[in-house]
Amino acid sequence: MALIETKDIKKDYLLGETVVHALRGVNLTIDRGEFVAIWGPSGSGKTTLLNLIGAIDEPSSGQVFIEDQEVALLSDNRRTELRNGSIGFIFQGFNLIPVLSAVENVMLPLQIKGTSFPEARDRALSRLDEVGLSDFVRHRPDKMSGGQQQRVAIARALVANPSLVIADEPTANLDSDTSRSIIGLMRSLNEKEKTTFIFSTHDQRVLDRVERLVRLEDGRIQDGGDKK
Amino acid sequence: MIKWMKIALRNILKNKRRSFVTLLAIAMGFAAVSLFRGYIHNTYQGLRESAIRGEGLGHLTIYKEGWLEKGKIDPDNYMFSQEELQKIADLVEEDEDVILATPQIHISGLVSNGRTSTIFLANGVIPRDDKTIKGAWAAFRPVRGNELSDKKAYGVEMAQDLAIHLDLKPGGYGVVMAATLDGQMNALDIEVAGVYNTGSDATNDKYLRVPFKFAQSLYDTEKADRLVVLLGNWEKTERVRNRLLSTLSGAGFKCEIKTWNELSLFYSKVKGMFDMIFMFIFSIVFIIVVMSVINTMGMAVLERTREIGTLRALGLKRRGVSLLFAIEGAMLGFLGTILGIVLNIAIWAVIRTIEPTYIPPGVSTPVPLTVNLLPQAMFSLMVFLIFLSLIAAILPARRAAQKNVVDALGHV
Ligand SMILES: Nc1ncnc2c1ncn2[C@@H]1O[C@H](COP(=O)(O)OP(=O)(O)OP(=O)(O)O)[C@@H](O)[C@H]1O
Ligand SMILES: [Mg+2]
Repeated sequence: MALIETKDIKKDYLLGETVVHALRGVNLTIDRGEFVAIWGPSGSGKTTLLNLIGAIDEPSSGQVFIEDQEVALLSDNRRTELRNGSIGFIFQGFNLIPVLSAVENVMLPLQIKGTSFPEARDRALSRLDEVGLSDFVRHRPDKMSGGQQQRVAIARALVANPSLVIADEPTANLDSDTSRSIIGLMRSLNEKEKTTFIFSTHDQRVLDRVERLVRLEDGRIQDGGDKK
Repeated sequence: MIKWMKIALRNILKNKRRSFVTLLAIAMGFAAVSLFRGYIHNTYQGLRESAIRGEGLGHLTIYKEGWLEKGKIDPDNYMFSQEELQKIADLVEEDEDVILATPQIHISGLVSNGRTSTIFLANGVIPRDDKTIKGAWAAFRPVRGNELSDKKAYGVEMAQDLAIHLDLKPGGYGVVMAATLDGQMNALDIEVAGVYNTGSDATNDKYLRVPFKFAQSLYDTEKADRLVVLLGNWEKTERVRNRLLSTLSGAGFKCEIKTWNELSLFYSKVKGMFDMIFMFIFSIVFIIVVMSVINTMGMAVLERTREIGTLRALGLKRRGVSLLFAIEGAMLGFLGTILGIVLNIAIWAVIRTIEPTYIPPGVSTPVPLTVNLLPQAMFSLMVFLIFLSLIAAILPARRAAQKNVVDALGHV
C-alpha cells in the first residue's frame, strides 16, 4: 500500500488572460519510509506538486491519494485533521509563530490536536533535543539563526509523529554548510524512525544523501517517477 | 483555550502602541457612557423624589373613570362623593404597601389683592397628609412664613412670583373667586400664610396651595376629584397600581389610576431628553469601539496572514482561526473596559471631591453635579463591549480563515 499516490494530476493557474500549466499530468507513487527529493529548475512545478501532496491545494484534474484516501473527497475539516495527524510541514521561510518560544512552537500541532499540556511539552522537549536545540527551548524565533529556526521547524513537523513530512525548499534561505546539516538531520530522522520525507530543492549540492530523486521539468516528471 | 489566550495576549503586547490606542478608545468610550449613565441615574432619582414628594404627586393618583377626559366639562359627575372617598381610602389603606391615601381637589379661579386680580391654579390638600407626603423633602422647598395648617382654615401658601405680582407678603390678605360646581360665583377671603418657590418659572406666577376644606367650600361641594396614594417603596408603584385596580373594581368602583411619572410632565420630558442624549452617546461609543477594534484586528489579520496559513497547514480548522482572533478581540475589550472602569472611578472620585455645581434650565439655584457609581450597569456595559469587540474581531478573521491555505502561506 502506497503512502502517496497521484494519478495524472494537472494544475492550471490563470495569470491575467493566459493559462499557466504548472503541472501537466503527474503520476507519482511514494511508499512509507522513503526519502524523496524533488528537483528541478525554477518554475517547474515543485511547489505546486508538494502543495497537492500536502493536502493544502486541489488539482485542476486528476486524483491525489494520501493513505488511500482521495483528498478531493474530504471536507475542509477532515482534510485539516488529516494534515494535523499525518503530515508535517517544513517551509522555506521557517514560518515559526513569532510570539511563541521554540518549545511552544513545537508543541503547536499537538495542542491543536488536543494533547494535554504536560505531554505535549515533554514530546516537544525531546524533539528539540533530537534536533540539537536543548539549550534554546525558551528562545523566541527572532533570537535564533536561520539554521536554528529550521531545526525548530523540523522538530515541529515531527512532533505529532506524522507518516509524511513535506519540505518545500527547506534550505533555500540557508548557507551551504547549514543546508547540508539540515538535510543530514532529516535523513537521519528518516533512517531512525522510518518517517517519509519529501522535499524540493534546486540546489544539487544537497542531493548526495538522497535515495530517490524525482526530476521535474515544465510540469512533467522527467526522471525518477518510478522507484529505483 | 489557554494556549490561544497566550498567543492572543502576546500579540496584543507585541503591538504596544496600536493596542494602547485601541484600549484607550474602548476605555474612554466605556467611561463616557458609564459616567453619563451615573449622572442621569442620579438626576432621575432627584426628579423622582421631586415629583413624588416635592410636587406632592405621591406615587399613585386615583380618579373616577372618565374624569381625565370629561371632568373639565362635567366635574360634578366625575368626582368622588364623600362616602366614596371614605370607602376607597379605607380599601386602599388596607394594602400593606400603602402608607397613606388622601383626597385632593384641584381648583382654579381669580385671586385679587383688592386692586388687581389674576388667575390662579390651586391644589386643595389636607395639611397634615401633605406634610407626610413631603416628608424630608420639605427642606428643599422651604416656605417663607407659615405652612398650611389644619387650624387656620383660610391660610394659603402662594407661589413667589404670584405674591410679587399681587404685592402680597406672608400675613397679607386677599380674595379668591371661582364658579361653584353649580355655576354660581363664589368668593372667599384668604390670608397668605407663606410664600414658596415651585421650582419652575412656568408655575411660579399662578400656583396656590390651599386647605382641602377651603377648596371644597370655594367650589361649594363635599366632593373631591382625586385620591393621592403614598407608598413605602417607589419600585412597587406599578405592582400596587395593578393590585389596587383589581381591588377597587372588585368592590364595584370604576377608577383610573395614574402613576407619578405619568403625571409629572417635567419628569417624563427630562427623562425623554436624557434618554435620547444617552442613546446618542451610546451610539457614538458603539461605533468608535467597533471601528477601532475592526481596524486593529483587520491590521493584525493582514499582518499575520502567513501565520494563519501556517496554522491551517499544521491542522488548525477555520473555526480555530476565528476563535484565535475572537479571543484577541475579546481580550482587547476586556482590558479596555478594565481601563475604563479605572478611569470611571477616578473621575467619579474627582467629582465627589471637588463637588462642582451647575444651574439646570428652569431652576433658580445651582445644584451639585452628582454622579452615581452603578456596578450592575457597569458590568452589563463591560459584557456588552467585550462581546462587541469579539464580534468586531471575528469579522476580519473569518475572511482570512476562508482563504485558501496556499494563498495565505504565499502572502508576504
Ligand atoms: N498562484 C499562482 N498563480 C499563477 N501562476 C502560478 C501560481 N503559482 C505558481 N504559478 C506558476 O506555476 C508554475 C509552477 O510554479 P511553482 O511555484 O510550482 O514552481 P517551482 O518549481 O516551485 O519554482 P521555484 O523553484 O521558483 O519555487 C510557474 O510558472 C509559476 O509561475
Ligand atoms: Mg517553489
